[in-house]
Amino acid sequence: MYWKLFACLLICLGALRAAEVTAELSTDRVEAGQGALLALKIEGGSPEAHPQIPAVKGLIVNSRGQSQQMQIVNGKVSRSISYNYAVGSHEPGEYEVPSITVRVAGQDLKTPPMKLTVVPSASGAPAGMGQDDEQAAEVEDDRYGFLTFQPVIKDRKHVYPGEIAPVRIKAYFPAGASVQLNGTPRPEGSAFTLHNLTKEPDQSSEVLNGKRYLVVTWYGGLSATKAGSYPASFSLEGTVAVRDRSAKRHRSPFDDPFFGGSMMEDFFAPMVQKDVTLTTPDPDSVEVRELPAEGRPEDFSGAIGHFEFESVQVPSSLQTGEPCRIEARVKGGGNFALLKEPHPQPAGDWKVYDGSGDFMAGDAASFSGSKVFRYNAVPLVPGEREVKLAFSYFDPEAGEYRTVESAPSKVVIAGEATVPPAAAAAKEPAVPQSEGPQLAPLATDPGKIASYEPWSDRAWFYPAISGFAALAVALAGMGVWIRREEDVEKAARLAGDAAIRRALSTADQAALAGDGAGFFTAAREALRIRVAEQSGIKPEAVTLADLRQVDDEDVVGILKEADRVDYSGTAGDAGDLHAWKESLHRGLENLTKAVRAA
Amino acid sequence: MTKVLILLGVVGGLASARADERFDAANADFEAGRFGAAAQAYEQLLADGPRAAVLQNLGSAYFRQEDYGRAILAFERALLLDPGNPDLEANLKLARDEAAVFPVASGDGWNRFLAKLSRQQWSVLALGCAFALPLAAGAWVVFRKRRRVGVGAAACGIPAVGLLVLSLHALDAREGEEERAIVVAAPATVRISPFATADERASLANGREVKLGRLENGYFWITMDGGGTEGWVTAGEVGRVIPRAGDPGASR
Repeated sequence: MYWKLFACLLICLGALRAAEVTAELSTDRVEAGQGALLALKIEGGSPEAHPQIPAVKGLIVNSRGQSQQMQIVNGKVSRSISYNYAVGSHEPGEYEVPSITVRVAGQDLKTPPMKLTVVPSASGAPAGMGQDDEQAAEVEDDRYGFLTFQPVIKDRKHVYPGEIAPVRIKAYFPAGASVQLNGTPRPEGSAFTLHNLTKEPDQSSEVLNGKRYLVVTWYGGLSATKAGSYPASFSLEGTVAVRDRSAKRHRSPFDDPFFGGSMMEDFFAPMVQKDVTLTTPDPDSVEVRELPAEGRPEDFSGAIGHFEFESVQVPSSLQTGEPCRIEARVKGGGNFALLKEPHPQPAGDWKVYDGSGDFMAGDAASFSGSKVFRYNAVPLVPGEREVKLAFSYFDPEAGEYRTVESAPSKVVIAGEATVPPAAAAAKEPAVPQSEGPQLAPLATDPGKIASYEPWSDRAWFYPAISGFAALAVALAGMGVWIRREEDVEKAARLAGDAAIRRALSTADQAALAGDGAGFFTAAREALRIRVAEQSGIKPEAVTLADLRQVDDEDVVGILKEADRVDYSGTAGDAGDLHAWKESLHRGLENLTKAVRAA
Repeated sequence: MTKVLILLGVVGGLASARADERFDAANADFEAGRFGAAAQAYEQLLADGPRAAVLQNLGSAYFRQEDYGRAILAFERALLLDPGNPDLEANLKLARDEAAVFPVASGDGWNRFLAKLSRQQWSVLALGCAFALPLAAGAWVVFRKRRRVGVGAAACGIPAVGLLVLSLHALDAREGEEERAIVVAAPATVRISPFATADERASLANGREVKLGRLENGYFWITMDGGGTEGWVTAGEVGRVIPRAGDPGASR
């Protein structure tokens, strides 16, 4: 359900600013073995996934990296993402780079197909694609800047897979150059990954070999992905514009020794702009060693670095079988993500549940810092004890595993010993084990065929849920309706009260007007309604005999007088009517009490 | 009709006995140290349909061959069918340790709570609660004259609604599980585009968990470490934890 909300948000954002995707080949004709630069530019949005170049038989596509650009012109921010590829082939011919589809904000954007003509190599033999260009670029790159990589680990030439080694990467650009970076430094090849690179690099000025440079510095963590020996090199893409002093010498009007090497020289030298990929020159190889299997503690979880306890909180009074909250803060440097919570020792005396771990970075590269673990543990053995927490990690400097214990905390554990299943199993006679790690015993019963597919993936699941819910709503609605329908007595009683009020009002007005006939007709009507309510019949069906059965002096008197008025055609005077009115109210009140009581 | 039922029962019984025999034979291969033959026999048994016990033994057979990727995959699949089985969890941890695959603790406490039950268990809970709702509403209607029964029915209905919402939320939160896959190649090569001549971007160690994206040209788009590594790998280099019929060449 969240993705739908997200999609709506993306669509709204997309509506505010439509995304555009463009693709451009640097040239439509290349020699076999050479590559044209394909630039895929996305403006006004971010692709939901890395764009893919459709496969074309014989066409070779090499990634040349990704870059992001942000420009602020007159307060208006525009952002674009570019993906660069070298496209070419070893086989001459006509190629078509098909339409590239990029999904941005839920919308598929397509580029038009592009033609690429690969002509036979002039040298006759196909060269490695892009190598010549790269070599030429390497020579020229120093003019536009260069990249250096300095591991913080100075005394060590090897690392371990998963270890995060803090590094400092510096990009040097000639002073006065105009620089636009297309992204951040990234490792070349697949042997290393870069983590937690600082988002806001430092900028400074340095003098190297008498030349002043603008220096951009990033900090991050380098991590090896596989064992072996690999060059640790980085690359950084950008556009650099520098003064072309060689061109100035032919064009400057200030061709005078007095102005030689002055600011005016630079001022009149033309700017030369170039898209460059800065790389680390002559990168040293870094040996990536496998973590030793020997001496690996059972609780080792992949943490590599240097860690130590900063604080430990264990309740001083505990009860066996009752969970308690344990908090431990571990500080140090390394891959904190793989550091698991320290457990109380001896492990067999405690049952520990998964908890939480909050990391607080202590530096820009998130290499050092502290991590607070909070979890629940249940003591299984009573007594007064000194509880220590322990965890294991691999020390890359020493090349060995280490287990760290906290300072002991005095704890009183009340209650009776609780034997955990593992301990109970340990007391049973030892079974001869095969060589190698101890897997659980083989299952001997194949069991029944099951299904990976949960019911929720079946087509009927959600309709069934909806059907049950709809049925429940319908039944509840029906119940409400039935209950209302079944309360007709109350409705009839209310209607009767209203009719009596109307009849009384008519009678009162008739009494005031001296209309005896009208008064007694209305009075008999009011009494008839109340009697009908008692008898459970319609008021029209109430007979005089029914009314006369009422044992009330006022009621009987009014009925007799009403009969007399009906039959004689004479009515009492206004004074009599006032008395009859009071009698009617009194009689009706008594009759109501009798009806309610019944 | 009775004869048909008896015939079906006899056929079913024979098939079950045959599966037992093949399973025992595979176990005998395993005990004799013929792990490759045992794994093959377990795979053949799984062609009839997945069974947690067969997957457990298959994982053990791969483990003994030091094919930790396939071992992890088999144990993961077995846990889908038999969640919480301590033998399977222990075997999985062992295989991950041997493969030096250390999964980062995932999610906060709420997500860990939602992971306590398998998707099938959440599905059963959701369906049970949904089924209870019309029963509770019906009881409220039928026994409307008896106030206590009506109140009791409503009291059952309210937690059923709560549990139903929780179950549906849990299923929604674990929507991406069918995209989980394990690297079974040693190692898998990640490319920038889905064809063999495309540039290599990274290599993934055997046993690593990845998230599968779309399938194109026999390649899966994969992401790992929350997007830190992404690219294309051939379908045969990874095995989807929850197998899908449409995956060509993938480890099933």
